Amino acid sequence: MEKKKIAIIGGGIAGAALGFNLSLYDDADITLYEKNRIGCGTTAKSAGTVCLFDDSLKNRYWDVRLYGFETYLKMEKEKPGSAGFDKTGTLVCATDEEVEKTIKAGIALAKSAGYTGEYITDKARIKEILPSLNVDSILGAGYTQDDGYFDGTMISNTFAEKMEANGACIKRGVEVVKINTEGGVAKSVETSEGEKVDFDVIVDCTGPWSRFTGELVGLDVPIWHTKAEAFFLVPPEKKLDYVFPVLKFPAFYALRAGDNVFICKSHLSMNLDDPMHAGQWDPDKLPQVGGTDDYFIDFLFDQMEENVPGLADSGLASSWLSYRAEPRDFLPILGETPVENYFLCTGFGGNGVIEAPAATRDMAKLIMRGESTMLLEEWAFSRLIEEA
Amino acid sequence: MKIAVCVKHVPTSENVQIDENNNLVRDTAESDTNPCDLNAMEFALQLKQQTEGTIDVYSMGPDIALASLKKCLAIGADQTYLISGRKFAGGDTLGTARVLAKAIEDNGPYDVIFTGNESSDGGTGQVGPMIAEILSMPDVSETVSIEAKDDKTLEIRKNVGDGNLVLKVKTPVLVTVPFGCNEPTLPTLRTQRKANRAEIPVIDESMVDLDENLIGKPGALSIVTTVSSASAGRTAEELVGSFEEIAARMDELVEEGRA
Amino acid sequence: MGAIGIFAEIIDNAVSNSIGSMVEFGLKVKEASGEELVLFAVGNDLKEKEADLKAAGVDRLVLMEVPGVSYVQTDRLSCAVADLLDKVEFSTILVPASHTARSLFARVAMKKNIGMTADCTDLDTEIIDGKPVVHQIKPSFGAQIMVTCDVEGDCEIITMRTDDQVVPELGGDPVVEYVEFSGADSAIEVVDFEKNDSVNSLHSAEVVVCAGRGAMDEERFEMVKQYAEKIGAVVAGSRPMADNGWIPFENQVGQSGTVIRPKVAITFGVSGAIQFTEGLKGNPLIIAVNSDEHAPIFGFADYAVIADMSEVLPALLK
Repeated sequence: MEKKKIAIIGGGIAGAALGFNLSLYDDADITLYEKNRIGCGTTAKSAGTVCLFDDSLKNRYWDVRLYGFETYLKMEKEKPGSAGFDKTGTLVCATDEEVEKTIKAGIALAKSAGYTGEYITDKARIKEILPSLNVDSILGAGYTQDDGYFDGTMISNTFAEKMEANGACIKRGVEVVKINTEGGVAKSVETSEGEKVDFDVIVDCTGPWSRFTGELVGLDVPIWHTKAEAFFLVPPEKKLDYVFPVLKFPAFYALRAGDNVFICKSHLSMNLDDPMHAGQWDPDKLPQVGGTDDYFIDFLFDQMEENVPGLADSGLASSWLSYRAEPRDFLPILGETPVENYFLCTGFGGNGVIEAPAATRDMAKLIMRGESTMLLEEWAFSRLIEEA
Repeated sequence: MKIAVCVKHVPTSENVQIDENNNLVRDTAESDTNPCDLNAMEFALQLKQQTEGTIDVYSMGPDIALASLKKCLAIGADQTYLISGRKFAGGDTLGTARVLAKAIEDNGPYDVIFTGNESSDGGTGQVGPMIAEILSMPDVSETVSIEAKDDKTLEIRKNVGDGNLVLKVKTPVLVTVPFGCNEPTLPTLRTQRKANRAEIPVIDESMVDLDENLIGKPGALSIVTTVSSASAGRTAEELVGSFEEIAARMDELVEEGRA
Repeated sequence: MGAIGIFAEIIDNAVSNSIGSMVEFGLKVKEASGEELVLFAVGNDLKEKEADLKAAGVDRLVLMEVPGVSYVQTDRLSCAVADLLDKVEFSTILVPASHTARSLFARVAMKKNIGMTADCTDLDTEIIDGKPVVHQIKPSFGAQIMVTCDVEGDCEIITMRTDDQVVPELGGDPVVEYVEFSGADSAIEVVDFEKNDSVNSLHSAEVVVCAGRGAMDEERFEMVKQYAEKIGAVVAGSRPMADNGWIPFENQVGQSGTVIRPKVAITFGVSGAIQFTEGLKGNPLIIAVNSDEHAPIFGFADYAVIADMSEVLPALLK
């Protein structure tokens, strides 16, 4: 059997999930290049929330969300801890009628798929679920106990384990330093170890690094970096005597991290034209911890004082900064590019953990069988070229 | 009591690099307050509360050290000072201690001066006792608890391995504090935000009256001649053999590491 | 020509175990420089300790009696040592890198304006222009880099990391000299000693055993706990262990848990996600046990045991 030789660049959640999905085809010969460790870059700094009815990914793509969620549930069931699931439930707060409508639609969709969910307007009940909340600032809240958050690094490593079990090869600590093209066709990669390897297909899964990776084939990948500045808070009472659910507001989200609470400005509230929010940076220069800007402390303090006063006086235990890779419409870039045999599977921004399973399932089919899907058509690179 | 705390802003990178001139490449993004200095700060806060005192914090270093000072303000320091100047650079522990001691003396006298036991980068543990020597006060290392008995006497517990010595010490005194002996107070969103807006005074070389030959590079007697990476990247050495052999080797390693 | 001085620390009225290592370092310098090797001690009732200080190879023993002094009174002792330095001309002073000795000699270095290096692990000697030079080798940055230092001036103070298992060869025949120092008071008074009850918190633990999701199994986790008890370690774990209730959250090591700085960490079934490794600081010695040879923890650990913990642990518990 003639096998298709595929190179995946990047071993974050996108690369690992794609590697796994490709490894389900017996005529795929896969090599994944990860210059560092599996799931160690922007994936490691993901909050990993996959909630049934918030709007971090518009309800238009609710099936993508559900597919991601159920993939991880099954992963976790197969081997406890392998997806890092913490089933805390989610409370999504309606700050205005527009948000309320979206939440209610999300609840209907969740129920349609057999999950529980309810829209609560009884403020006393909301306060019971999350005592530190200022219930006066919201109209109501959607609540489910069925979901929570996962761990992007663990998921990536589980996918990596599975793809290797299926015979795929992972080159850890190996960087792709050059991509050779001939007449507009991507042909081979050269690595930091001095190897040159021919491939039939090369896929960029490098997320925040995609501008640099794209340059290797002369491709301008239109992503911006938005700053995901996350803070770990120690609540004043030191130990929460209730399960802190994933908390979603339009401008920020929070979740429990052990006895602490993790908060971050939401990705859809980022303005790509505000230099405080977005720009073009070098992800290699990002520190593992710290590196946050005073701006985000101001922003989050205002948000906490208004919405979750119980957290405004929480201790700041630590913080980190990561770069989300966002195209202008905050949706990923999947599929073919003007460079033949060079594919993109990047730009997941704040939604990599949610979107990776469905997106890479379809990408694998496209690469192996040439069959596109509705999702791939909507998230194609061409949409961004036409815009420009 | 009038309390001073010295904190150092240190690089925190797990991957230290060296340039062609044997200098550390200090990636400004990856730096933080020296860990045990926050334990020192915590004892200062306890003493401040107990004696209705005040805390002044000093940090010597480039502007990036402002981040540590702002953290200390957010935690409960009353005033902070950045000690910064070209003539202070390149010094060894003697020069560093002279500059810090002079700045502290000029704003003093203080009843208690706190420092961390040692910095996580240089790790000499010398600067604290040297400051004490210059300011003619005793120093107590490995301090694990501190309490004011009256306005001139402290009861200090000093860890000596198998237990604590209980010491009665007359002020003024310099106390050095090890990592992990207490749980440092954290800044909060509210206090950090306030601290971020604070103007922090800078003590520069024109304000420190010291013989230029005794500080900075000219005053340094201990000179680093070569620097090399201890290991190029961390790759684990595999322990092989029967499980009994592996277990025996692990026992040895644990004992070696513990010593 | 000066002399090589070795500071023999007297702790709790006994000669510190660091002396064996210290004499070895002293002999190494002597071999290159040919200078006189002087062992000196400062304290109480030194006559009783004289026999324990007569290490082979030492040329002279200088014992300074400081009546009623405690080894923690570094304010008073530093005056005594400074006085001794006026009496004996040292070119090199070797000091064990204990907390009290380094504090004492930091004060002496400042009094006398002598260059001082810290925590050296080795010495390298050579003769430059007919003069012996001692290059001092020390780890820096939590042992990530090795630094070589030289000290300028006629004298240098070097604190050395010692191996306290090295037993000194006693029965030497040095010239013994007693001096007395009665000046200076101390502001430090020792009033009591409280023996440690064995409360071993994760924060201050020197040895930590970390369990990861691979240890989420009654039998395995039980063995992990027994092993920790056997080696006197504190049990900690990664996030999945805490989320699933195997360990309390306060014993969770990591970015969202506790940041620890132990000397040794042994991990069982920890994959080594950054979330975990960010909680393990200070460059401890790390031994990782994991059955997955690709586990990221092996890129972080010093020693790898690629095996199923349920086979390794019984051997460790024997």
